[in-house]
Amino acid sequence: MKIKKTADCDVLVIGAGMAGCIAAARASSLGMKTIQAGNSSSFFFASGLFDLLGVFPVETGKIVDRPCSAIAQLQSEQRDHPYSKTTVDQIKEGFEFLASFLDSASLPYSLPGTDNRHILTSLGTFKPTYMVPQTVSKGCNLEEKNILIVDFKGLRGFSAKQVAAGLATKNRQTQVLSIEVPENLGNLNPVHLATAFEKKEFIQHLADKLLKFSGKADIVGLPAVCGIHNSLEITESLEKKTGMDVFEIPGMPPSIPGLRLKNAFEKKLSGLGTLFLSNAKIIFHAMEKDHFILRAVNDNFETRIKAQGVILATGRFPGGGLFARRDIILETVFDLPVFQPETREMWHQLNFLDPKGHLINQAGLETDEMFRPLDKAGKPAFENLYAAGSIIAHNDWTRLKCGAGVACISAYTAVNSFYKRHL
Amino acid sequence: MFQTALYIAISLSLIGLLYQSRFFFKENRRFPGKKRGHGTWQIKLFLLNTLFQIKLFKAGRLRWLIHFLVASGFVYLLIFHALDDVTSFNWFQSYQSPVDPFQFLRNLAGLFVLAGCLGFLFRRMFFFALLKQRKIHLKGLFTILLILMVIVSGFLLEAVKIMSEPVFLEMVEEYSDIDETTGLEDLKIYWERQYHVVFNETLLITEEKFGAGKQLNEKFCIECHSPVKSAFISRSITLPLKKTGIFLNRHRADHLVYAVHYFLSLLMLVCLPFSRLFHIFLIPVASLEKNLTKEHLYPGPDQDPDQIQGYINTATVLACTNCGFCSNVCSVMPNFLITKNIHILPHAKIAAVKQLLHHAHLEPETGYWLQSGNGDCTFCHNCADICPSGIDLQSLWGLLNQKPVADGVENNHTFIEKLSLKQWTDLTSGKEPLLSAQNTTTQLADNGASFGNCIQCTICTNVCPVVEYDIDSNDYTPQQIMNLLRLGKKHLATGTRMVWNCLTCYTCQEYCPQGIKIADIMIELRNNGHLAATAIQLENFKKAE
Repeated sequence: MKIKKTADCDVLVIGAGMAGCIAAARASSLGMKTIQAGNSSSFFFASGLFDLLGVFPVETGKIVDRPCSAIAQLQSEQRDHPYSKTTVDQIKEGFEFLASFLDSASLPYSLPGTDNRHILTSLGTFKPTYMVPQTVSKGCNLEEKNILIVDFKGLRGFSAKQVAAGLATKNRQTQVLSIEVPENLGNLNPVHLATAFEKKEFIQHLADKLLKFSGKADIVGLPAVCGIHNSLEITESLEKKTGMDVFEIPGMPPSIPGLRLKNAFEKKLSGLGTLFLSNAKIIFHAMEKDHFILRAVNDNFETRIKAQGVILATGRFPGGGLFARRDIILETVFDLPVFQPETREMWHQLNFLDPKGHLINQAGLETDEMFRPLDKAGKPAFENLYAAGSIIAHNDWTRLKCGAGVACISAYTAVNSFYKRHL
Repeated sequence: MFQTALYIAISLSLIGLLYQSRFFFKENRRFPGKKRGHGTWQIKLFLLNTLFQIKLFKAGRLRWLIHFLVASGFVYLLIFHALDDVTSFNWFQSYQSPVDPFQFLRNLAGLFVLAGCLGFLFRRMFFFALLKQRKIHLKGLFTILLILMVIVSGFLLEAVKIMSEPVFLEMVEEYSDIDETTGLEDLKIYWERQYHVVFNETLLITEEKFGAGKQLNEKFCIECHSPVKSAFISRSITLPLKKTGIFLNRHRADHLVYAVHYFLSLLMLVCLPFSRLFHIFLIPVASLEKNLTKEHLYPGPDQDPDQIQGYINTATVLACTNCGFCSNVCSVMPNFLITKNIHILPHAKIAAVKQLLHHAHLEPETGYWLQSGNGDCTFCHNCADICPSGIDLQSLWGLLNQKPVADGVENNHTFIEKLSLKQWTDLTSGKEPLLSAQNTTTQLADNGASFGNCIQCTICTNVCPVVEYDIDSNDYTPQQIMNLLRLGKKHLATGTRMVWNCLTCYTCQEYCPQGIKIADIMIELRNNGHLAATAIQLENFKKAE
């Protein structure tokens, strides 16, 4: 027997990924009564880095250094891309909001001016990205520095030698150190190791090992597992103990910087009064005058929600926002028309690594300037329904490296538009 | 004869008390638990529980009321009525048993006990029928019936005495100089009308004679005989009996009923140490000391949780009156409803412990059910909190957990822990029906759709507190369990440490990005493992026989 409840709100955010959380953050910061439903575990797959535009044009694979001018070019060439529905200034405003929100959630991020940063990854490559956690921010512009890369024996997915080998291809000589995790202080799953970093004994043990390299190295790269709740304090205390700069190197999932984001959003949103319905599946019931009536169902309860506005941030296939049948791709909550390749044969190119990307990755919802999904006639399907994040069509974010930027600007703009129009 | 019987009864009762109290002194073979630290003496609880049964009051108001009626009524009757030679006669100058307020109070107290006993019986008839898993213990029933018979015979005695002509004549002879010539008939007339005595002659009532009788009554009788209406119960028994009065008087029914009442009372005295009545002594003792309190079970950050070990004077276990409150509040009652192992419930466990104490032996099968039932205990302290007898139940369950109750008996958890996965799969081969029992499980582990979406991302393993606490003794991690299922190795999975160590905290399920019901699957696997392990163990007991 499920417990039945009812709840009223100004905004219902469906989805708890990047776009959903930013939308909930913006809505509750504006003082709107917000309910969020979804599963925020996808943050474990997020590197914790916020991309704006990393590669453009996608066919040439050109790495972008100055995203603002690249966006201007993209806006003129791809009228359908989500960035083309907004302006560079608005995008910057969105990022500023996000940075200040995370700052207030005790997860400080470093927001650059106009240029992309090239951050060292666990593969030894440099990833073009935009806004990064402060603990990661020293992982760029490493020329002229004596680098020490540290790994932990048994921690899978991160090898100091691998990073060094990557750096060697760029003619950078790097020192490596492999540390054994003392028994009783932690084990070698990333989350558990990150918990161990929060123990003073562990930090001391680590600092003692690092001190042997003092004089030989001036900056230390660690896998991004330096604590879950106070990573900046931890890296700073290591810097103090060793006299060397310390930075984190993001890598394979489960990603601790992603977990930190998840925790920061959840904690701050709950503090702002956002009701979070964890793992609830949303079913659209009907419109009652201007209000949406929806049901949120999970194993234990069923909540009837009355919402003035809805932000659809359900993602694409992994998030469950889109569902691919053999013959057609469907939108799962409102059954909205989905932009998609005409036939299944056209989903993919013959070459998996085709630089043009696959057409299926352009699938999603067509929207207007305010990111309201359109119906078949090209009019907004609902007055107050907005889409945010990867569910928006014409957005091959994995290739353009613009996922976080699109999530941020669509969520930010959608909530702002709803706020201006109706409250 | 009555005197001799009294002395014999007192001696028997005293010997019985001494014999029963041996449990408090003898060194117990099963629970030699050395006293660790100091238990707390609960003086306040001791006093309140002894005098007012405060714990019973907290557990159930109606039950307390019934109990208090019996207890208060009986104590009054014992002190002021049964022992009146040494109490009432010495304490009150005007005391005579048929004088108010004593006559009225005796009836009132009798009514209390009567009502209480009927309440007990009523509850046993209906409450026990509702909870079919509980047996009526004849011991308790015997005690109630005994009390009931003592009280009923008392009322009957008073009723018979009220209408007795021989008693009337004896009294007249003893306390007055009235005879036929000086108005005995007048007094008879007055007493027939006012005191309901039944005479074996027809008396001609005139107002004159009645008045004369009243004067005689005032002169000789009234000091010791209050109006009979204050004996409101006995009088209402007398009235319908009056028709048989002549017959009863002729055969001196008063003597017979007196003997019955007297010997029933002595029987009660003798039974005191051997019946449920013994709880009068045991409950104060049990209420006095408590070694494991709720606070002990939730140790502070500086305390070593391993140090917390209960100690119990096992004799206090005998204070259990089988009231069943403990089982009603048991947190793992749902386990019982599924597994039907009665020894999950505290009232059944304590009954088995009693048997163990008395006979120092349990059948391996009973031992097994007790061991595994006790293994389900979550140490929530609910039973110890509610126990009206104040028994330190939580300490008892803790002790039971530490020692196997019968030789060669283990709970399924330790049984499986000792086996390698290879041995386990060898043992369970041929037990396939048990490993996917259709009726008792959610059927997730047999359904590929429930775990097929697993992408082996290791998030479940990363957030699992069991994995974090002790990675070495855990053979498989949650995502590996999912992989075992995908490989069709369900039998193997039911024996893994991960499945048996799982806390069912649901963190994995909450975090799984693929929405897989990991914790539910773990529980199902463990339940399946339980079924198989139980079958194997029971088979082993049969073989051993």
